[in-house]
Amino acid sequence: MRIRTEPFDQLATEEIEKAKARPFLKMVPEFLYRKRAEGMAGMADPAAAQALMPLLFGLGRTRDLYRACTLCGACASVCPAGIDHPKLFLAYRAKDVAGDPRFRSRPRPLGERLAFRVWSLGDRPGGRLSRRPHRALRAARM
Amino acid sequence: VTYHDSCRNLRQLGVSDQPRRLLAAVRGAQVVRFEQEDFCCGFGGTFAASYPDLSEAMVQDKVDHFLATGAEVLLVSEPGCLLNIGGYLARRHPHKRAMHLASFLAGNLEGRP
Repeated sequence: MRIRTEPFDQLATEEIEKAKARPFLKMVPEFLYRKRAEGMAGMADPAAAQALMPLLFGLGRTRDLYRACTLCGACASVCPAGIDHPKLFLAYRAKDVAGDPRFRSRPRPLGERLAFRVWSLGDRPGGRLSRRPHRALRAARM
Repeated sequence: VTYHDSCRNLRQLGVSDQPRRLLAAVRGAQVVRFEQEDFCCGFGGTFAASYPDLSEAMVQDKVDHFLATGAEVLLVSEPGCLLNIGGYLARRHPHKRAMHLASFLAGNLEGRP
């Protein structure tokens, strides 16, 4: 699946406005939330901060905030402000993987990028690797 | 038996009652509900590899709630959840099983492909 990142700035702005509007009801296991909330102690609204911190301090330093998430969507389903955290976190991850100096993020290691590039070939509809998964595995091991 | 709501099915496809209605129609099967059955099992794709401790804590919670029901089989309808919960059960509670809903409905009680 190719993640569309062009409207990132617009998406981020929308989500930030929603986050500022009111705190959101959490439906995330406490220990998982705590992991993501590390480094945000003392902030008035960790939920909003979670969405804002990567933009304020860069994607590289705040990686746990948007990666320590299963993207299950439970938080989004109960969020009274309608914040779609999985969508936002996916956008952060896409930016982080690509490496964007505007968001203080470096590209992922070459080996990792190559492995996922090979993987993405198999994900295309009708892609050769998708019809022959053993070839995809072999290519990923190389 | 009991049924775990997979995140994709529940929150993206809105599938919740349908599997339970199917299970209710299975003769001889007693379907029980369990606490936090709609919570994520902790797999989350690469999340399980990136944060194995957190992932295991989540699947442990899931399995604890399942064990509390006394049910023999935990049914799921998402391969990722089956991999995660089934693997944890096989290691820690080999007397319990996780199965795909389709396998159960097809009468394939071994749960093998």
